[in-house]
Amino acid sequence: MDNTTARNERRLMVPPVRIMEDESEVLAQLEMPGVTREGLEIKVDGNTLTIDGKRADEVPSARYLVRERRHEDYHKAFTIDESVDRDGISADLADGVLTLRLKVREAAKPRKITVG
Amino acid sequence: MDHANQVTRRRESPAALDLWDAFDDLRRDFERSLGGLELPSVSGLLDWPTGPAIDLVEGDDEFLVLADLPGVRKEDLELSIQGNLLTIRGDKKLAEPTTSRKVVRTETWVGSFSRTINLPDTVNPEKVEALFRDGVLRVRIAKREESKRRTVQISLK
Repeated sequence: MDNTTARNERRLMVPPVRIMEDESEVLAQLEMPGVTREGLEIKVDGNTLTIDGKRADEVPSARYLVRERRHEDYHKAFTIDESVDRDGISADLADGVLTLRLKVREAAKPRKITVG
Repeated sequence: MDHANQVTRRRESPAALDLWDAFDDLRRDFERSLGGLELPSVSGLLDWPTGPAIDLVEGDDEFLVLADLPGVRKEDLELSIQGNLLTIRGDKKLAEPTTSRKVVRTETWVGSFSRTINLPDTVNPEKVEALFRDGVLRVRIAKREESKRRTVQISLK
């Protein structure tokens, strides 16, 4: 409840994402220019994976002649199902892109069955 | 992830299928005519990116240009200034090979881009400094000496 109120006070933007997967992992890349490692918070709560990113590139008391860029902080939530190993999530931030790797649980991977 | 479902859901309605296919074909032709630029699949036909979004900020002694360029490597970025025209040019490439992976959702784009910014006439093109960090490009262009805003203390007699 508290979370929702706080979110309404500040404007947030949803970062564009590219999601890829193979049999063993899901790879999500989120474009979050201006976010540093310190301003990033990644949480897993039950079936929800949330990513919050604070921009660290604000120009204080600036006089804008052109202002096209978005200045909001980032927020994104994913619903992850049981096939994702909760302990196998890793993150890497480089060049304004956050890459999340979600390992698929062994039991959820497709298995080959050989006919004896 | 549930987002994959949202993308495919609209295709499950048979009545809408043909119409969306027609749009997809049109978009593919359009992308091909642009030389293989990959457009985000969820965006509208007309809001495809032509160049990075920029801010132009005026300070007392300089102008600052900020551009969001997430996923662009420093070596793929080219900056030039001619008079008061600043050009940002580059190539945004895929960070991960997709050959063995299935792409579930794409809202981002890759391809080459170019943007020329018309700076105020008071810039000094000899004094330019650029920094590229966290996917944000910052270019500082000094003002000409004569156009700098100065506060002169006037002594009272």
